[in-house]
Amino acid sequence: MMQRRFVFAASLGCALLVAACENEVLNSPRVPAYQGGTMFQRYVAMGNSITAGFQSGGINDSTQRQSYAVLIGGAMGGNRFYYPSLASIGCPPPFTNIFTGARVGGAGITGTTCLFRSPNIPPYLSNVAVPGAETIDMLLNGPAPGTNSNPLTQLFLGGRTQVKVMMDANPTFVSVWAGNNDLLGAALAGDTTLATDTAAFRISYSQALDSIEATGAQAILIAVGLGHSVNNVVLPFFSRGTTWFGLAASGAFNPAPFTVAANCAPPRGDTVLVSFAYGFGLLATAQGGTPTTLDCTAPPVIEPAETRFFAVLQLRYNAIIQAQATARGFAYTDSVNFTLDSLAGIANQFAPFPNTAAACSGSPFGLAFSCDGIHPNQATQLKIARKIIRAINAQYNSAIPAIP
Amino acid sequence: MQRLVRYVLVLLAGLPALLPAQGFGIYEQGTCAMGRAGTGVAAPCADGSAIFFNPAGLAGLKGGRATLGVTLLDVQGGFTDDLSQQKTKLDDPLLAIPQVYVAYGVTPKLGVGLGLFAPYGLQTRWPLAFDGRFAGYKNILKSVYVQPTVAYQVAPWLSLGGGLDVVFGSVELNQRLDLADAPVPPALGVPLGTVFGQFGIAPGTDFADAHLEASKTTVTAHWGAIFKVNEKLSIGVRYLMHAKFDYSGTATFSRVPTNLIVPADIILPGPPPDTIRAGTPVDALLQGLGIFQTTLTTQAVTTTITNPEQLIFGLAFKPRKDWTLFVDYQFTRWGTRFNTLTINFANPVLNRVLYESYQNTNGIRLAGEWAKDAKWTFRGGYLRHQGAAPAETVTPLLPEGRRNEFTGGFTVKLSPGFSADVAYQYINQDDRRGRTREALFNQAPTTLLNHGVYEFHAHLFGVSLGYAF
Repeated sequence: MMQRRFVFAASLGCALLVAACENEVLNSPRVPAYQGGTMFQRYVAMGNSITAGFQSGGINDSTQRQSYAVLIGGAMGGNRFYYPSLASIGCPPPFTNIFTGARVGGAGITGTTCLFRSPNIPPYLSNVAVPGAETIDMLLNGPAPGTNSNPLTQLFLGGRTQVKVMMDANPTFVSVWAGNNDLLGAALAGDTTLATDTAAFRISYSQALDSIEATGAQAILIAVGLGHSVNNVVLPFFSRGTTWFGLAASGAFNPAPFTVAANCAPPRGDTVLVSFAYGFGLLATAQGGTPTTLDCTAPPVIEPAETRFFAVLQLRYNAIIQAQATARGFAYTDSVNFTLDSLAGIANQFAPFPNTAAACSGSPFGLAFSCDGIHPNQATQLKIARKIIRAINAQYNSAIPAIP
Repeated sequence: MQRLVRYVLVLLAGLPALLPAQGFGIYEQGTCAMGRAGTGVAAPCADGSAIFFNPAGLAGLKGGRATLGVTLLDVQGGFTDDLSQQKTKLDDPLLAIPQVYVAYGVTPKLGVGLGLFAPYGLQTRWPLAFDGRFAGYKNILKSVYVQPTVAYQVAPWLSLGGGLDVVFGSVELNQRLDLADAPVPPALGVPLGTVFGQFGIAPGTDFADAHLEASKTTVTAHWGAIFKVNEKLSIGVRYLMHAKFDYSGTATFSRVPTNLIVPADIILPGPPPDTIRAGTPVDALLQGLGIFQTTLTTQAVTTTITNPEQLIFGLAFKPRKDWTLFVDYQFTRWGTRFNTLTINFANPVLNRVLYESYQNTNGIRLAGEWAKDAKWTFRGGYLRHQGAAPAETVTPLLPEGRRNEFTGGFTVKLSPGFSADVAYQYINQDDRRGRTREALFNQAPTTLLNHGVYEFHAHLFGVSLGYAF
């Protein structure tokens, strides 16, 4: 009898002691509470300078945080969105006055100044975009032929490719905004042969999407461009030949010995584009005392036929992207281009000619752009983020909160 | 017998693995005692394991006892990451711990013995894909105690015992080095303290394998007493003194290719300004910087580890002739002995300080034993103890914590001279949050570094053969 009691007591004691376990638990990844939130637990952004947060000819932590990708990552509310934060003034530091060449950090800071990454290295990267990247650069790094790697490729990706870093982050959702540089590089050089042909574009873009599909993530593909060229929307980095001609005729460049050739006059000059780098390079030479002429048939100038070429190429790229999105069930949005189209019609948003009297704080390229005439400023990045969120919600029937 | 002792010493010295408990303490030092949940400081098993469980227990021994046994450890556990929810399992193989005790009653009052036991040690092995490889993927700590023991019955109610312990200690640490955390040599002209992660190298980029090995022999002592209050009740106490090891050994480093390529020309600020050319392999860059020729060279390494004191009190009560109940309480003084682990290299740049901040631990053991007849004795028990590691130092080196353990076993007399013991023990450790990496630059860690949960459980099977002579 006593033996039975002992066994019973021992069993009871053991059961109570087992119940004394004090297990600590996993912190499960944050699942956004809104409709469809599970899809946005781990967001990764691929792309180029706009996605990376490049502004005013430079990039630093401040501009990186203003990227639409960072804004979307915050709105999605999933796992922390990590970007490759640059140290201190940046790499290179953004301009404070593009006309004097002054950059954040003051005297001695140039376009080759680079202070590497900040010491807080994140465990993975969510923003894997690299300024200057073309579609092929999502798949390959330099010095492979045809690639466009630069020091930021090393500092951001450390020898890995965008696709590899994206896959390492184990994403649930990816945005891709690639292709701008496939077109822009050629436009800056005024040489259509430098543009990525559509076949090569399709292959590179498709391979990048294959990698995204392999992760099981959903995606949104963002159309190439900041406005539709076919709608005559042009980045403020480019000024029309007509504008140059008119300013010269009004004496705006006096007393510099600077002339603008008659081939820049309307109507031809309306579809001739002179890049800031080329036009102001000539003007600087003239201001140095050397008589100089802007000829709107010079190779760096984008002539009417080339303007049409780039407008059509943009449409073709976007047709490819849209077809890929449809085939894979991904979202596609051209809404950023439409937004920029609208902004272009609003006074002071797109400066037709840079305001040389203004420092960067005065938005010399218009209120929509940063101080290089190519990259969106903080306000436009915010508009882009809002548009993309709407497009995602529409495609996936999700409810990512709007960014105020 | 000498040959047997020598054999066991060799076997223990090359012990493949040890099971940690209460910090890196180990209590499974005999099959009989294992079935009793390690209790018996007031009435040790009659297999000679009193040399460990209470040296005073050798007093009053009639004749001699020799016990040879083995404990098989099936250790299972792993780490699950918060973010990825991926679990990495421990890579520990099935482990075997041999045990040998020899004891002899010289007179009715005087007993002597020689024991080999390993009350401290650990081995943790992790796969090389585990992020914890940068803290240590194969970590081994061994302390083999050789203890000549003498016990004497001072009075019918009091026995005292003591032993001098010669302790053979060794430590081995294998870890990968993460290039992302490695300082960029000043030769590249970057600010002091810049790490390769700031150069874009992703965390988790192996570039070197570090192997640290050191050994030391030291001496300590072990004391015990048993008070026989009456025929039914005994009280025991034992005190194992701390053992301090000033380890010295060697650190060797081998290269692990990163296979990374610098994709573009990188201008270094200097002075003088320099350029890393596009296409330069990162491995060639490291070679050029002389990292393996100047910093990560084979060199002397020293560290100090102290096995803490153990103080155990216990009761043994016989409510009936055939029943004995045991209660033991154990205190282990980790708090003073395992606070920081400083590893000093010949090249002081590599010096590391691991903040362990272990806390003193308390454990309680309960057991019952039923002598069915002259041939069969059955036993079972339960124990629970605290974890020594505080919340901020639960790492791949030793992801330990509170444990509940259940034991059972029996002794069967095979013949007048021979007996066999069989025991089983199940260890269930409370899941604990922890981390996989050490804090950078020898900083003290915080729980903010914890990013997942360690789980651990084990099945132990013990079998031994005893001979009375």
